[in-house]
Amino acid sequence: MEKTPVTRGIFDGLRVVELALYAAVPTTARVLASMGAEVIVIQSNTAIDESWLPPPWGSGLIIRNRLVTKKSASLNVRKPGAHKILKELICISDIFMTNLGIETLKSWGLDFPSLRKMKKDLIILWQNAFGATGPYSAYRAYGMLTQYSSGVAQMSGTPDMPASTDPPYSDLHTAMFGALAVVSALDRRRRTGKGTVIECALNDTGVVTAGPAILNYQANGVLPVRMENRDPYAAPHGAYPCLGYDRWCLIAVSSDTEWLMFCSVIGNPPWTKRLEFATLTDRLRNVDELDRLVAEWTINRDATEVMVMMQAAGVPAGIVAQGQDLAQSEHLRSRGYYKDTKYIVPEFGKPGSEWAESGPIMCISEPIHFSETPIRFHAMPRIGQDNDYVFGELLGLSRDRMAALAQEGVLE
Amino acid sequence: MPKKKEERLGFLPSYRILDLADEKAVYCGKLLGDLGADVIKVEPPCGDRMRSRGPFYNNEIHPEKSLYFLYYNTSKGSVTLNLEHSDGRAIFKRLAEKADVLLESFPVGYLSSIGLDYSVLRELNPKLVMTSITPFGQTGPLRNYKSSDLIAMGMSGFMQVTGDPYGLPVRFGDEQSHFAPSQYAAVAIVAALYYRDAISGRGQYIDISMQETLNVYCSENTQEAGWHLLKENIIRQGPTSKYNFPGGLYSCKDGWIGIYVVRAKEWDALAQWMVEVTGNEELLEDKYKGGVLARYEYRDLLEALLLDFTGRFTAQELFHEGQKRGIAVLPVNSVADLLVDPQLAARDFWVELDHPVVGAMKYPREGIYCDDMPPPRKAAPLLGEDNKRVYSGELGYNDNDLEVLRTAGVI
Repeated sequence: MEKTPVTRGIFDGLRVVELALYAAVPTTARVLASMGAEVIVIQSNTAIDESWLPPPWGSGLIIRNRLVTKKSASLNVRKPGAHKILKELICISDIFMTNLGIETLKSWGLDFPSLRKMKKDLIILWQNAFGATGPYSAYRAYGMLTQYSSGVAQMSGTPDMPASTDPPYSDLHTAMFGALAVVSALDRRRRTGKGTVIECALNDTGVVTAGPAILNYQANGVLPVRMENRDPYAAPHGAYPCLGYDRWCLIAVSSDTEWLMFCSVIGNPPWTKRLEFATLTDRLRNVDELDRLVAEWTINRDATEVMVMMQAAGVPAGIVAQGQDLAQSEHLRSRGYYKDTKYIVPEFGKPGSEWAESGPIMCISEPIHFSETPIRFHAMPRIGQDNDYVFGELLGLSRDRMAALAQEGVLE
Repeated sequence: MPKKKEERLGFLPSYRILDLADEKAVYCGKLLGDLGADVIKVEPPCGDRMRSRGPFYNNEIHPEKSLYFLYYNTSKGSVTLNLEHSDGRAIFKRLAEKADVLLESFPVGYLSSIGLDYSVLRELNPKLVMTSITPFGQTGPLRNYKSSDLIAMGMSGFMQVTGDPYGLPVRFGDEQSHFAPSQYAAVAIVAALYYRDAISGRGQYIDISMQETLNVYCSENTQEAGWHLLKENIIRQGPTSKYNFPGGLYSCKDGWIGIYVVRAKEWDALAQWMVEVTGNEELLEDKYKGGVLARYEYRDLLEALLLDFTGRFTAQELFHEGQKRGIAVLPVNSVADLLVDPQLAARDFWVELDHPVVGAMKYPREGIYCDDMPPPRKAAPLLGEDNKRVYSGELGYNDNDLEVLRTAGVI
C-alpha cells in the first residue's frame, strides 16, 4: 500500500483523562493514544497500582504495556484538594475513563451527571465487574475469573476439567468493547455535538465470547463437550508433540485436498490407506487411533519444520509459539509489531520520579496498520512525569501554587 | 454525511458496510451492525459457507438453520453475488462506489487477482475504507500461510499459556480467535471513518493480522519479554496462578470455584472467613498479609488449607458468601446457567430476536451499555433477502434484469 506523507494522527488534539486500576481501561486508553489522542494517566505515589508488582522477576514489565504512549500526572485523590483539580482537568478534556466505584466518584463530586453538567459533550467510559445495575452490581471480579463465569472455560479443556487460560481473560475483550464504544461516541459527537456515558462490565463481555453454544442450548438443549484440541468437523486436528521440551506443532485438516496433501507430506504410509481413515466421518470416528499415528510421525521432528513442510503443501499448520518464537519472529519484526523501548522499574519507598529506567526491552505495538495515518508509540512515563505540563501549562497553576499543592501532598 | 443517514435509530449512523468476510472475520460486521451500521453480507449465489456449518436448529440441516451462522450474523443484510463472474465483479464495483467500508478476509492477493484490490476500488470511491483481516497480515514472510482457529491461537502465543503445564497446550472456548481481530478491526474502521469525515475527506486501507491481535490478548503474560530478559519460555500455569495466591480454580463440594485475590483487604476477608470455618488462626498471621505476590513463598501450604476450606461448600455457597464478604469468588457457569442468570436477566442482557425460519431466540448484547445505544435489532438475514432493496432500489435493475442475472448465475 503506498503511503502519503501525512503524519497527523486520527485523534490528534483530543484529550483523555484516565483514572483506573488494572488492565481493561488502560488498554482502552492506549488504543486512543496510539491513534494520536493525548492520554493523561492519573497516578499517585501514595497508592501504587498492584499491576506494578508482577511478574516477580521483572516488576514494572506488565504495566509497561498499559502505560506506553501516555502522559502521567500525580494526584493523591484521597486529599479533598485533588478533586477540584481533577474536575478542572476533566472539563478541558474530551473523554474521561475510570473503573472507580460510582459511590467513591460521587463523594468526590465527580459523579457523571455533575461532570456532564459542567461539560455537555463529555464522553465517559465506566468499567466494572458486573455492571451498575442488577443483584450482583456490587460483586467483585477480575478478568482472570470471568473465563469461568462466562461459560467459556466450561467448554474448554479435557473431559475431566475445564481449562484455564492465564491471560486476564475478559479484561482485554472489555478493553476493546470500550474502545469501540468510545470511538463510536466520538463519531456521534462529531455529528450531533452530544456526549454520552458508556458502561462496560467484565462479566458481560465474557458471556459474549461464549459463542454459538448459547443458541445450540436454546435450540437443541445441547451443552458443549470439552474436547481438548479436537474439532467436530476436522481431523487430524490438534497439537502434536515434537522434538524438544514442551514443543508442539499444530495441524488442522478439514478439506479433502488438505487430507490428501497431508498424506503426501508424511510420505503416504500404509495406514493412510486404511478404510477407517478413508473419509472425514471415518477419521472423526477413529480419531484416537488417527491422533496416535500422526503423533508417531511428528514426535521425532522439529515443530517448525513440520509447519513449513505442511504449509508448503497447502496444509494449515503451525506451532504452539513460545516466548522465544515470538521474540525472534522475523515475520512480526518485519511488520513492525514489536517496538524497542525501556520501562520504569518500581522502587517502593522512593517517589516514582526517582525510579530507575530499565535496559532495552521489547514491547508490543498496536496491532492496527493504517495506510494513511500513523500509530504512535513512546516509552512509558514515570509517575508524575508530566505534572508541569498538566498542572502548569494545561490548568494554568502558578509555580507557587503547584509548590503549595505539592507541600500539602495533593500532587503526591 | 447526507441527512437521511441520521434518520435511522442507531449509535453509529447507517454506514454502508460491504461484508465479504468468512468465519475468521465474521464477528466484525456483526459488531458494527449491532451498533447501527448498514452491513450487507455479499454471499455467493449458493450461500455463504457458514450456512452449511453445524450445529443446526432442531438438528435440521438447512441453509437458514445454521446456529453458527445465526449467532455471528445478527444485524446484517444479505445480497447474493458471484465474484467469479465478470458481471458479478462489475456489479460489485457499483456497490463499492456507494459504500463506506469494505471488509474482507480472503487469502492475501485474491481480490487483486480478480481486479478488486484497494488501488482499483479507491479510484472508484476515494472515500472507501477497506479493511482486511487475515491470519498473518498482508506483509511479511508468513502472509500466505493457511490458518484456522487452532493455528491462530497457537501462533499468537495464546495456547502456550492455556492449559496444564504437564499436559497439552489447549485452545480455548468455541473459536476464541473470532473476537480479538474483529474487535480491533471494528475500532480501526470507525476511527478511519471519523478521520475521513472530520479531517481528510478520504478513506484508507487497514491491515489487521489475527496473530498480532491475539498476541495482544495474551500480552499480559509477557512471553516475549520473558525470553528477552531471562532466556526462558513462559509456560501455562494450569488452573491456578503461579504468582498470585489465591488465583484461579479450586475444587469444592460440587465441582470448582474461581477465587482471585489482588488486594490486601481481600486476603484479610478470606483469611477471616477461613478461620471462622476451620478454626485455624494461623491464617491471620502477618506474614501472609498483603496483595499480589504477598503469599508467593507460602503458596503450597496455603493452597492445602484453602482446598480443605472450599471442599466444605458448594460453588453457589462460596460464590454468594464470598462476594458478600468482598472477595472476588466466581462459579464455573455453563451456557445453560447463563440463560437463567439473575444478573444478566436484570440487565436485559439477552435480546430476543425473531427470525422468519427458526423463530425467536435469545442473543447476547454486545458488551456495551449506553442509554443512547439501542440493543441489536435484527436476527441474521435470509440468503439474498436484500437483493431487491439493493439491486433494484439502489442500482436500478428492474425485475427482468434480476431474472437475467439470476439465470446467468450472477446473483
